[in-house]
Amino acid sequence: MGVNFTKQHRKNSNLIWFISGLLCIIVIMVWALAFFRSMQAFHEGEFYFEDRQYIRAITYFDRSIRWYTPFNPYITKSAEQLMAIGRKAEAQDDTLLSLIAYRTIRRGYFAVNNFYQPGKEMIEQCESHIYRLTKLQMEIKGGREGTKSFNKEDLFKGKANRPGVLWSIIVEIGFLGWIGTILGLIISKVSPGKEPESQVLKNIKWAGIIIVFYTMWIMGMVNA
Amino acid sequence: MNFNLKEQIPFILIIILFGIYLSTISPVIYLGDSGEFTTAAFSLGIPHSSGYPLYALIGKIFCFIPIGNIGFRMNLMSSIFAVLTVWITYTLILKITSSRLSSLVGAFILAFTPLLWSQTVSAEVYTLHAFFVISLIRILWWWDETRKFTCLVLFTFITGISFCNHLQTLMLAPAVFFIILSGDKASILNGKKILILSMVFIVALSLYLYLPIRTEAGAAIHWGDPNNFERFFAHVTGKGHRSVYIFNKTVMEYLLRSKELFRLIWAQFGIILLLALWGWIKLPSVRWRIFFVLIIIFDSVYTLFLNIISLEITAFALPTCISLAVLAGTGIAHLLRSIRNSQSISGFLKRATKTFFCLIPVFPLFSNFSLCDQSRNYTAYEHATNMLRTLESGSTLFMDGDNNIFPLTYGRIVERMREDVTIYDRYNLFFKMPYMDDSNSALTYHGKWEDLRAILEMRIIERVADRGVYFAGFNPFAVSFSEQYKMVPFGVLRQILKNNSAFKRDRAGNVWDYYCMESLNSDFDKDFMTREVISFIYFLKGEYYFIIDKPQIGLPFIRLASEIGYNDKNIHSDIAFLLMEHGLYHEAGLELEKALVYHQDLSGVHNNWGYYYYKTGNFDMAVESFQKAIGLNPENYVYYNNLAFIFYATGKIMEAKKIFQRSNEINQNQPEIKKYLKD
Repeated sequence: MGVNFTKQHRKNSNLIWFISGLLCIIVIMVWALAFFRSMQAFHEGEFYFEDRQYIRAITYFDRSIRWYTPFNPYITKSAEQLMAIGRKAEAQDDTLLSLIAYRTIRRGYFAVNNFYQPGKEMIEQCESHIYRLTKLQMEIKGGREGTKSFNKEDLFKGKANRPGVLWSIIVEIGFLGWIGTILGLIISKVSPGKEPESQVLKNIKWAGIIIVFYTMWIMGMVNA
Repeated sequence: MNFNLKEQIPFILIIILFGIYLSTISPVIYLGDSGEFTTAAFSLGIPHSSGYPLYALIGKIFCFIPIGNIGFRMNLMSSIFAVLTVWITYTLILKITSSRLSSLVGAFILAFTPLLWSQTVSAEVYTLHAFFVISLIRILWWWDETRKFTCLVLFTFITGISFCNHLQTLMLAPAVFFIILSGDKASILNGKKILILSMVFIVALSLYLYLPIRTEAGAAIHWGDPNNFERFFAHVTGKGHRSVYIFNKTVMEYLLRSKELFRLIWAQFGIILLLALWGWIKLPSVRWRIFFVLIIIFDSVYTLFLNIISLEITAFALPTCISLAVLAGTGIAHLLRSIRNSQSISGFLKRATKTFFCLIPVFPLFSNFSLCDQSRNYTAYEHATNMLRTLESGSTLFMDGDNNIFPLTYGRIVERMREDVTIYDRYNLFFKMPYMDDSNSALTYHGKWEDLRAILEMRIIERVADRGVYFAGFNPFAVSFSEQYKMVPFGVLRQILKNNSAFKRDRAGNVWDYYCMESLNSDFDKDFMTREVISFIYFLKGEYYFIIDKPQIGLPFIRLASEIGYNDKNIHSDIAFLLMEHGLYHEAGLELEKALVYHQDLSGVHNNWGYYYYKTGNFDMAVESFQKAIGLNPENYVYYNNLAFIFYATGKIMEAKKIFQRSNEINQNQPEIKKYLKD
């Protein structure tokens, strides 16, 4: 029996290593693709930037940001170049182009949001520029009076219910937990009919764990 | 630990497969339902019927991955489940045949079918559905080998979970019940066992609690508002629209759809179907032969009779493809075994045959790669971006059509695009129009949604016309507004203006210089939806030049729109109408002929033909065409009006009066027609 236990333990251990290895390979592949495409898009953007085709440059810098990976220098460089386009356009009185540049940075960082929000400072800077330029546009159109009560919050008022990170994580842990526990229970070969007491106790423990995770899942969904 | 390279080959190949899928994934959200599903997952919201709670919950996990953008991560989820589907297919064929080679070949045949591969590039539910289909078949095989009750419990639980993704899994039921009841009736015809299985099934289905809870919690999107029993039931079962789909076509239409389905299956496998047939014949048991036949039959029933969506857009027939791939692998295993055991075949020929079979999946890999490669497809994202770039701060946008609404919904909710503009969707699902009357109290209305919508839209237009009102949709006649307003093309949108407002031609033209058009010009295989959007964009550009009296600049764009949207059911009619308005009758006629081939509603095409003949002075043919239109759609009052005007124009007053009266009976809200009748 001891020998079987060691064999089973080794088998489980090998399986864990194998799955971990597989996951690592997948992550590396995805990371490499994203990094390479980010780099590629940045260089395309640079080409159009040098050629003063700013709309096309914006398109490619935007794409570069969207191929986000942590600590990828091309993300920051792309955002900086977009800022540069925004400033150039302002200097040339092309308000629409500058707004496009700043909005691109802002939405690009929102698009790569994960369990943390990258580029918070850049987003804030862009929002300030967007607010300033939009106010200017409104003043040109309708005079200063109409913009007196116009606040930054009026521009960025999108309060669509985006679930908070913490509660979302609780939802997911709860979800995976109760599904996984039930699967574990089934696979551990619980069978119907009269059980010896130790098996009943085991089932109660399983049920308890399922209830905990299920409750987490419900609470998470209510609050997320 | 001994390392055996031969045993690792399947894992290596699966990783290579993942690499191939990765190289073809769309980099951002895709068209169709992709934007909606991505938004639902990101916001833990509720997409269209049946709600897809499992998809949203799993999708949210992928949204946390700190690589790429959210659209890409959801597309990645599709790829991962496709790879898992292929892997489990491999393990099933291996169980049946004990031949690693044949199992890999069968699994990779499935991997490179255009149907499965095309689903790996975008956020859709079908690869998850395929994963469940093959998992359930695999567990069932395991049960059949061991007859352990635990396997049935596991099977039931996974079935319940799969119902929380796509209810099409229900179509496996006949095959499943057959295998279980023909194998061991006692395994389920036992009170206690049925109780356990039922409990497990219900616990799995409790995933649907996600729908009312997330609706009450105020999720960003909650299609159908399923937070009471009636709406919950309607949303999960699709009660509202299902009746339109089910068994309401003619025999000829079903036959045509069957022909399309067969063509689709042939396109996936071609001559490999013969191997699948051989594999079916050589399956070890009659029961399993019947099982796979039942899967294919009921999958076909679902595709043919329970759905009307084009096979070009939606991935029906995946269970059939999975079954055929398993059977093909089985067939290959039997053939290889026979060849290996044959004394009369030389060793060289045996090796050559084995190599040939190994190479079978390579053919679809290369032939379908460019078809499935969407790595340069930014169309949905750029289309949403361009629509919003058209708008000034404070303006209002009405959205119509999935390929406008879903990318914009994603853009607004996930990326917080242009929160300074107000958007409404005309389905009133995500961005709802305010139900307010003139005194700002909640409006009470009893009647059809379409009529209420017209009232709400008009109120909104009247309130905000000065700040800019725009429409994003493929059919400009969909929005109803009073005669005080007009609609003009404005970039990729249409602007709704008061009649006395000036059309800002320069701004409407300049806005095109600020659009990102990279995807339009990128070289990749454009599917139906991508071509629909791109052709429409070119149509709008051409239309703009026609309106500012520069048809010589506009015509190339119009021709490009016609070429790109060659099988778009609407574009040829729209182009024909535009060309007729500007006297280009010959070209308009050519477009109408194309419309006759592709348009689903031929009454509209015949109506356009009638207009064409009227403009070219052929009144007899105009009458004939309008009469054809009426014959196909006798409830469309517009066709009656057109026919009546022709009679009126040719001096046949009595005929005109009769037709106007008929039009008035259908729609009594036509003051102009009443005036004609009076006169």
